[in-house]
Amino acid sequence: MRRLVKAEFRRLFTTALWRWGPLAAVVCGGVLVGLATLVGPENFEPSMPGVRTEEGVRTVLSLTGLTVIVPALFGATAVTSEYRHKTITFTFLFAPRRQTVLAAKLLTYAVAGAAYGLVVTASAAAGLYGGAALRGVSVGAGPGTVAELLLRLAAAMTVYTMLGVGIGALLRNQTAALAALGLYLYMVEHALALIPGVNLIYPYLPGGATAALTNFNLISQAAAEISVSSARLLPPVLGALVLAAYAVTATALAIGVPMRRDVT
Amino acid sequence: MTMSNQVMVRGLTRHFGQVAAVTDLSFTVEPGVVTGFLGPNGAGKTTTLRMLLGLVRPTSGTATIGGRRYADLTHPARTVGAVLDASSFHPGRSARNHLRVYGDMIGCSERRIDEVVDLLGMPEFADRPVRGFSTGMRQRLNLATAMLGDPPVLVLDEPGNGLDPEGIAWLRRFLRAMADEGRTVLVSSHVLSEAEQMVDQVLVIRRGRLMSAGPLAGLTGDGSTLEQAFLRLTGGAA
Ligand SMILES: Nc1ncnc2c1ncn2[C@@H]1O[C@H](COP(=O)(O)OP(=O)(O)OP(=O)(O)O)[C@@H](O)[C@H]1O
Ligand SMILES: [Mg+2]
Repeated sequence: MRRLVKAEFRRLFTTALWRWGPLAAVVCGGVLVGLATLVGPENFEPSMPGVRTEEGVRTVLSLTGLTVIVPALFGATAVTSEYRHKTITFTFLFAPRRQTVLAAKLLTYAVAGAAYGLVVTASAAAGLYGGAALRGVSVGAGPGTVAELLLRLAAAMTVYTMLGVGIGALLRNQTAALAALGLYLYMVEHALALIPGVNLIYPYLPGGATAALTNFNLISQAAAEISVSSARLLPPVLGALVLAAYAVTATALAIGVPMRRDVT
Repeated sequence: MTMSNQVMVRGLTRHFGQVAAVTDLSFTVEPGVVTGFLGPNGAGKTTTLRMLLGLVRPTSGTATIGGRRYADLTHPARTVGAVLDASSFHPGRSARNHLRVYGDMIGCSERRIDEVVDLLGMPEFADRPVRGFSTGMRQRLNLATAMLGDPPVLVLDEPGNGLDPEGIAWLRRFLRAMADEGRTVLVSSHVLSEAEQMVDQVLVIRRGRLMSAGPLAGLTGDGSTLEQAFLRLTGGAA
């Protein structure tokens, strides 16, 4: 397994894709939060509390939570790129126990996803404090609160990268992975929530678990309450665990079905 | 050499829906010689080789290397070196890094990477991205990947495809050298003029069934070319 993980890291670092990772992380973290801080939530449409208040800080940081699809797509390429370029043939020849290949990918991309999450949150912190300093306003949340929110975002990025690996393994095609993630996250789950009774399980659905991690401002919570009345979200740590469980489940399903298919 | 390097196919069958790609195929491939696996397009060569390597599931029958299925080998890539696609590389990765990735999977040293780069005559382009490689360069990288584990068995699907005469001559010398070292060498081809100069033993299949197996001389001994013998066997017009 150590050899396979080493190979996966080399696979990752010997193409140009990984160089886009840090760039995407800074855009989704620092640039997004920095701009939101500079503009100020009080100037949003509709107007919201400014970063002078804790609610304002939560609002600007929560924008980053909307970008989880980026690390998920990055994780999906771990598998889809192998099918696209047919390297999967050599990969399965060198490791005919295919489940070990997926396990190594999941492990490697958990680490890579955490690194991505760290760049996102470090740059988001820089965007928040830097933007506030530039505007001459104080940050309305203590370092402890900011650190907790950033940690939740980093965890979300990590588990979404793993989830991406699982979805990539299930679908084997990057466009299909993008479509499935996008449709599910932005449409299917909202529709599901309208079905009576479904809101009881909503906290355990991927979207609900994500919300437990990243919906930490009043606006998104209010929005969630409108569409998902009376659903109480899980604590953040449980939310992260539920998402990680989805990633492992998707990967396990992939081992059971698509990974056993013929490679022709 | 020992029977541990023998390739054995017994009653191998694979259907794709209504298509019987391979039907009740049985043959044995011995070490120390180059065995040509010949047949027209769609005869079932690729399907057979992929079943041998655990990439395609047989409908029935078995294919073993030294008595074990590929997936059950203790060190599969150190036992069998295989090439199945003309190009299965990430275009942005250099040849050397491609070799390193697969070398990592089986614990090859950097020295082994250098060795296969030299063995396949790739020092000049090993550090360039595969994107710009010619067919010949890709075939060499394919073979280099197969050779990483210094395997006693080579299974190559159409390694001569797209090579110029010089490339074919080089490939012939390479396969000959591999067989002379005692390795088992199984190469498929549908280009007979090319196979004729490359192989010692032939297996001819047509529509998924074995038509003939034996030494090349047995087919061409009557003075006919392999192509004539082949057309006779496969029922084409001579
Ligand atoms: N994945 C698949 N799905 C359906 N049919 C297939 C599949 N793979 C192969 N076949 C069919 O099985 C038969 C044998 O194909 P195969 O690729 O093994 O032949 P081949 O001898 O390698 O031919 P070629 O010289 O053209 O490479 C053909 O009729 C082909 O259409
Ligand atoms: Mg073929």
